[in-house]
Amino acid sequence: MFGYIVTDPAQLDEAQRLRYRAAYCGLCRTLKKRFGMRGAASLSNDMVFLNILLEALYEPESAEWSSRCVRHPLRRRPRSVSVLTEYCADLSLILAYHNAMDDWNDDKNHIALRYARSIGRGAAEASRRLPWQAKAVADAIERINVLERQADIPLDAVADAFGKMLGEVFPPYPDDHWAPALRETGEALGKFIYFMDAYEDADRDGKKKNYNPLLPLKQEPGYEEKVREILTMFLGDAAAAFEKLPVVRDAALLRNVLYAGVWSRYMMLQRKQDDR
Amino acid sequence: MIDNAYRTLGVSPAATDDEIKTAYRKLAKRYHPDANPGDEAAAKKMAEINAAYDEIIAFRQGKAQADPFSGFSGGGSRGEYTAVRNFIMNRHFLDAMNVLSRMETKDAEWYFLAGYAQYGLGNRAQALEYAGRAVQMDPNNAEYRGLLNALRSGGRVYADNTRGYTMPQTDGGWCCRMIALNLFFNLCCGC
Repeated sequence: MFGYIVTDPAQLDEAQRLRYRAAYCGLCRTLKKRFGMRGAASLSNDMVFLNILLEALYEPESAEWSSRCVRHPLRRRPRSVSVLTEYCADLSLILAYHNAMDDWNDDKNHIALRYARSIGRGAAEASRRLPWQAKAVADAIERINVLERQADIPLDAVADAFGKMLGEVFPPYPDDHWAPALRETGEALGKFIYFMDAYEDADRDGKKKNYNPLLPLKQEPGYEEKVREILTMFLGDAAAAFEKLPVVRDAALLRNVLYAGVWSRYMMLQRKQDDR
Repeated sequence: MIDNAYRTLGVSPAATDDEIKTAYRKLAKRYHPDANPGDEAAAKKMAEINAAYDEIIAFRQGKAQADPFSGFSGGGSRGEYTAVRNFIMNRHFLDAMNVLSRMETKDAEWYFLAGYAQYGLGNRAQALEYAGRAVQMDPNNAEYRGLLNALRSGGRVYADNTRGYTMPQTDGGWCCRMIALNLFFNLCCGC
């Protein structure tokens, strides 16, 4: 989606690096198999994270093998696929489709429209398999559009709608014992993602007069501290919700993302600012 | 009560969170309904194991995080604020915000009460912003500090225990390579 839910490779050991790659490549392969190359373009680190998290929690049977692909034609790479990889693949497509349509509706972005059309059938297929999740995504995007047009809404209003959307799609089994904690994790991560994106785009949104909840805060002293505090608060929520889950396998890898990796882009932006 | 939970999972109260999770998974594998279809005793045991695990986690997390509502009192300084405080005590947060939004002057107490109401409504970033202002305007007020600290406590728990991880020093060429990979596929779409 936005590329914030990533690992910090410098703090990964070799086994974790391989595990992450296997999940990434497994998800890519599943997308390609189901939806072609265009489907593979909807691949995101966010969904790789979810794939690893769900597999760690539910420990489904998984197929593991090594193979080549277009991007890595010379060496065989390990891949891992399970029924939860298929779940994440369907979700990837649903999210990518709705995001692309939203871009088209907002900015008349023709590339987005063409992409949406090219994955439309696949997204419809995925939506038939995951009707509950597809509806949650569509409803949330509509709600976000309505909110962004209103004046005087609380800081969290849109972030909350985005978070709720991600929260709804995190649990593959909505009535399962772990669904509430998964939902909380997704929701908090969603709010983090939304504010991180708002932080990164604040200048651009100000110029283009787009909605951005941080713009009023930017005018006032203490802006950087406030942003850091907001981001930390939501990551705190996400980490606390994650720690409720009895995840043992890949816990260290998932924690790399939640406690370090998520700050990658933020730290890069800080370094850019310092350089200026 | 909590001792029973530890006993059910077969762990000591001094066990680490990861040891608790490992113990849970081991028991869950044995008693899960999928592994014991139709077995009522197993189902009952599974429910006990789930309850025990949840209790321990809630207990451990509850100790670490402060509940913003635990210190709230009904005594207000101005007449209008009494009504707002009553709404908040009864968890009618929208009503509280409605009264607040009709007020012209926004003093420290306004921001404090608005912070509480927004927290109640689930708008945590807004609550944090308002609570921060209340403390800024009246730094010596213990009630306002209490709310701000409680709102910050989750973030503090997170920052105090990053499980051995430190802030990333690099953006990770990985991240940019992945974005490039996606672009590559996108461009290929047209052909």
